[in-house]
Amino acid sequence: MNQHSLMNTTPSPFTFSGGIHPSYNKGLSSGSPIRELPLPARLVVPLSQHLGAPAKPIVQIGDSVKAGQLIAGQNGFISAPAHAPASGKVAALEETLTASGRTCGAVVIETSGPQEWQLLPPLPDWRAADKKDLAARIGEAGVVGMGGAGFPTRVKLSPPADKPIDTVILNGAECEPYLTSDHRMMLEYAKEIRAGAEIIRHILGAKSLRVAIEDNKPDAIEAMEKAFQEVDGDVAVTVLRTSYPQGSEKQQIYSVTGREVPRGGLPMDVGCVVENVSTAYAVYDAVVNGRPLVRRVISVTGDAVAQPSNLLAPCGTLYSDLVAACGGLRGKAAKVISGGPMMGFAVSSLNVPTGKTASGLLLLSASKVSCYTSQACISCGRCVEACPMRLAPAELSQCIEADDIEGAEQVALMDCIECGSCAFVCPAHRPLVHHMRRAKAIVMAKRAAAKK
Amino acid sequence: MDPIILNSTLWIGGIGLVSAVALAIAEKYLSTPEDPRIGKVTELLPGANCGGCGFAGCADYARAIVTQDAECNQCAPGGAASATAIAAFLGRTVAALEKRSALVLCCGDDTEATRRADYNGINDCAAAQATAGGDKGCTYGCLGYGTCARVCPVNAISVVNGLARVDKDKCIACGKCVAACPRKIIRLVPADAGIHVLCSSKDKGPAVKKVCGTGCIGCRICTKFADGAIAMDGFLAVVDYSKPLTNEETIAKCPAHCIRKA
Amino acid sequence: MHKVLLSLVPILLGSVYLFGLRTLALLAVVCITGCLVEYGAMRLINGSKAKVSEAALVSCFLFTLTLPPATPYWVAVLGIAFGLFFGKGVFGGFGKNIFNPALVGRCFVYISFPSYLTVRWTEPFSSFPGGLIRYDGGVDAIASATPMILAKSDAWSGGYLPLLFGNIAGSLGETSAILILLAAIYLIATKTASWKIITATAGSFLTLNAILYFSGVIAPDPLFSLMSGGFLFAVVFMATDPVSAPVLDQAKIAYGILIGLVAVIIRQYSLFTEGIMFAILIANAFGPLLERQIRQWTQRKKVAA
Repeated sequence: MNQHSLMNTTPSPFTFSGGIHPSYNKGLSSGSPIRELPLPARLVVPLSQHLGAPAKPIVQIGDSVKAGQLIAGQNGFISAPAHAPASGKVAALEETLTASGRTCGAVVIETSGPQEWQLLPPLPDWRAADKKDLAARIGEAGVVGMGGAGFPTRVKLSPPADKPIDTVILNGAECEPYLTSDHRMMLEYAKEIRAGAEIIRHILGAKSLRVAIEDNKPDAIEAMEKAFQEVDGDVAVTVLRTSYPQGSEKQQIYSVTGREVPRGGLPMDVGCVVENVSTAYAVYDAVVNGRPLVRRVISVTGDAVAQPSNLLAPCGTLYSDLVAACGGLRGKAAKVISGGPMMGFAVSSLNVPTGKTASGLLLLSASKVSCYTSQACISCGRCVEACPMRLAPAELSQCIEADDIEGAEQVALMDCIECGSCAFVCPAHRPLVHHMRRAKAIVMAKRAAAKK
Repeated sequence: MDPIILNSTLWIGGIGLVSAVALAIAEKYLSTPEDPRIGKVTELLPGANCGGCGFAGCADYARAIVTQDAECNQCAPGGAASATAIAAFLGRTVAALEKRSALVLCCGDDTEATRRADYNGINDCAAAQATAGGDKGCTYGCLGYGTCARVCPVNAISVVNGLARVDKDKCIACGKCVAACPRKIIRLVPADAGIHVLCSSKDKGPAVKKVCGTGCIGCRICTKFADGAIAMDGFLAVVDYSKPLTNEETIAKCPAHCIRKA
Repeated sequence: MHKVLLSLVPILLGSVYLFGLRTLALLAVVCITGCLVEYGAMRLINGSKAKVSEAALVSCFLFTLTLPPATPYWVAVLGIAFGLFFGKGVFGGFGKNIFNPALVGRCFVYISFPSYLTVRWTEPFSSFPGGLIRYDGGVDAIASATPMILAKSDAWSGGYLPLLFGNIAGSLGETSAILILLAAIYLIATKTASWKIITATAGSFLTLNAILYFSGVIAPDPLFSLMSGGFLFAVVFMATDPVSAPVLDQAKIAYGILIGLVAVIIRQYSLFTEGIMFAILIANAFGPLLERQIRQWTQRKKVAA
């Protein structure tokens, strides 16, 4: 098992059905190297940068904090702690509007003085460490899935004993148009990503490791091939056909392994764990350097920003600071989106902080924004063809429009991954994803109420 | 007589007769007995089927009253009249039910309040709220996409100039709009209360002024004229409806003009 | 929707060339009536927010092009009014109709006024500039039979070429196979029409037709059947109407097969010479049922897997 691997690159054996081909527009920022953002004077660190219960603040107003110091503790099984991204003083504990349109508590830090780090004890010799300790460390460092959902990585790395994991998939697909942060990470931090991936594989005891990258990023494929050359065991770079949403967990597992995650199931049900490349970097940083997840690379791009860039920014940076660091606006931004254009959230103010899951900030001028009035569904079925989850968005949206949420649930509303493929192809310009999000929120609220 | 006509008449009539007998037998032997009082109580209820009582329509509520000893004063449309009638019929006592009506605690319409973005999504307040926290400048005020109006069983709510208004005369206080409003700014208040603070913003004065021309700025002037019927909740004046508020000077003295008759 | 209108323009020009400027006059009358009826129906549903959708115009175009050249104006007016009101308005308007409104209208006049729609045909103009400068074919052109009627009594001897180019007697837009095929290619390329429905319909139609032909039951051969009558026009423009067709892929194919089979059966075994119109309306009625059944099957498969 321990012989030197013949690292190979293979085209993905499968591709999920459906999907779309939007114009990717990645050239705006894919050529610009990652640059560190000058430390902002004020950081608003949200307590809910992850899926699950918000973290509980443990600092008081006026406390001095060091960079990397724990400021809010994990609060429940599916939760993650938050750390101070920089040294300074806690100026306030207040409610803030987050990019997703919800409000949550936040610790406001006024950065000042020399930047001192308070790190966790580094574990450079992780191969000898206990797997449980490593998973605990990753949880302690507040590492969450950085691809978008923000699922606590500790939970993903502690599967129950009856669900053995045989394949770890490193997600470098970055299928969202415009975004290039993962792409740049793969080019510039290939070694660290490799180490992170090895740690993840070690913790899970998985046999195979796959690096999934779309074929529109040949330089990233090359960089990953080179970095993973020295890794032992069954390792391969799997080149995915460029198609949105290849980066979505369930679609990617199918493309790479041909396995289908059952309805309502998790990747672990089919022996897979998918981790984003940025998450792998964060795992490496947390284990080898003992540094909690307090900063990430974010693409600030779009035709309304002067210099589209990939910035390494502390979590909690206000979007306005990011825009300023990119030379400000070019003309007027008609639409601002946190995340990518397909799955991101429109924001109405730049006075919103970034979080661990913020992969991009997209500023578009009026010429790039289409504003349609939607029409009645003509049942053409284009959405059915495009849906990567093989749902019938036309029927779902008609149920939801008629306020028949239960009817929508019966036709698999909750399987929707909100990828936006249906709305992208709809000739009647129906806001299908918006309908799904609304209905899903209603169902979630109902289920939460039923639990109580 | 033409044999065809005779034939068909006999056949059709015969089939009808057999079916009628079958139905009559079925009614007699297959029906499930039901407490006759349930039907009577259903008749005493107004039959609006609004669901405001928490049951699935009037008949369901009547069944609950008779068989599960549910309170008989839960019907808002029927009010005290139906409650006392049912109580008399069943020989129970009933607590007096106060007539209430829904009230939207916001007066920032599109003329007074700003919108910070163009919202182009579906016409629903909850959906708008979930999109970047809503397009209204004020994070507390009425979004005006009419979710409350759509759930109202008696069409008492209309959206005028981006602001929902409740027609007091039509409102039956079923509380559906209160539950539907994503910003939770609709309250059930005593129907005879005349003076209200039509604002829900807990922000500080300057922040309120930036986004709305008629938002409560927390100046406390009204509390001096209200005989204790207005209390401050942080930077927001809130009417305490358990106390009478009749002093119209509160209206005249409010610098933000958010204390109004409604 | 505007792509459908665009694809109909060559067919419309072709029919003007073949049958005279009366085509345009008929179209204008139908469109005006159609818009008025649509507006009236929308007023009943939406009150002051009534709007006439582009789809109504598409229905008017399609309806007009399925009429014989000499159809009286009043028959056309009655047909489109019935189609748009009872075929669409009563169901709640655009996007909610079960049947194709143009076909409902056509079916109504076909059955109510058969003398105008089944026996009074017009010979097309044969030499350039054809109908481009004349109102209609005149009295002497009336009363010739269509190839399909002739074929029923084994009297058609024209071969396939006239069917391809359309210089035969027939309904306004249905005679020229080549123009319809061009439109079909455009509609499929722009993803406006579903190729699945078109191929399923044509495929099942040809298969059953061939079986009957080669076993000696039926007179016309499959290729003649395909190009004669209103089959091609109806398949490309009516069967693919997304609103009245099913949504799921498998249901679309089943729907197409149903249309093709019923069309052959009606053509061969019923009183009517043309069956495609009834076939589509019947399939429209079965569309939701097909979809429901197919969903149940696929869901059961998912659960079993």
